[in-house]
Amino acid sequence: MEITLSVFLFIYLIYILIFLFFSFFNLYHMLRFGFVSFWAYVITIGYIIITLLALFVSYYYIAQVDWNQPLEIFNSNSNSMYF
Amino acid sequence: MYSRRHFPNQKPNEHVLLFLRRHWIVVLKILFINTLLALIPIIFFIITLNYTTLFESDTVKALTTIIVSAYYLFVILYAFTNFVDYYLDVWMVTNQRVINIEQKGLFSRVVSEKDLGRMQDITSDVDGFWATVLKFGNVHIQTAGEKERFVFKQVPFADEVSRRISNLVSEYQKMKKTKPNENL
Repeated sequence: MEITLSVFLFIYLIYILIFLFFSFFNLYHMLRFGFVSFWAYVITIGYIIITLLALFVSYYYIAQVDWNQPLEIFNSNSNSMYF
Repeated sequence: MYSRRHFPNQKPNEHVLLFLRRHWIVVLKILFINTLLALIPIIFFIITLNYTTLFESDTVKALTTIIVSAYYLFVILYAFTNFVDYYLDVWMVTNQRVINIEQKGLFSRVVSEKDLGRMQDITSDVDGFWATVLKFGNVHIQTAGEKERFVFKQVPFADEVSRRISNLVSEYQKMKKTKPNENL
């Protein structure tokens, strides 16, 4: 059986959506219920910056991959995975 | 955002006397655990690059990219979620009542409060090596007529906090006896 690598990219994108959903709720809680303090601002802004940086670095590496490459996952002789 | 001077459902003439969160060691623990988690892929890479030829395949490289990206995003989110959980757990003692605000996970938040006059048994416990060295512990407050009690978890100087609350309760009760219809 053969699939393209883009399947994994699609799963990854769903994961990113879940990540953004949880991030939104964390940030909402901080802004809605948090008590004003210097460290609350530093850590909240730090989180946004680190997240954006991680997403940017991920995009940089992901963009270099040919996601249309075929991937044979099951061989008819055995059930092992091949790359 | 709230402030220590202006918090939700604040009563007239009410001001905060004690504002408590867990000890800073909790933040250090979050940092330590997440630093360890962040190091795992790096150690894995060093070992894999030096002892295997796994990364010569383009497919493995592609899959590794998204797995590592997903992993680091998880670590960042996990650290921030833990910090939010720490930061939003707050215990306040005002001149009129005790307020307990606890964030339980992302979607559960418990806010409870009780009049200072209804506080009865106030005890503190310092349990363990780090708690003794760094001077933090739990403060348990039993309220009149209820089984449930407030627990200030891992607060700094737990003994001192329980002593201060006891004094405040005594003062409050004396004040209530002399001026029964006035707020403090």
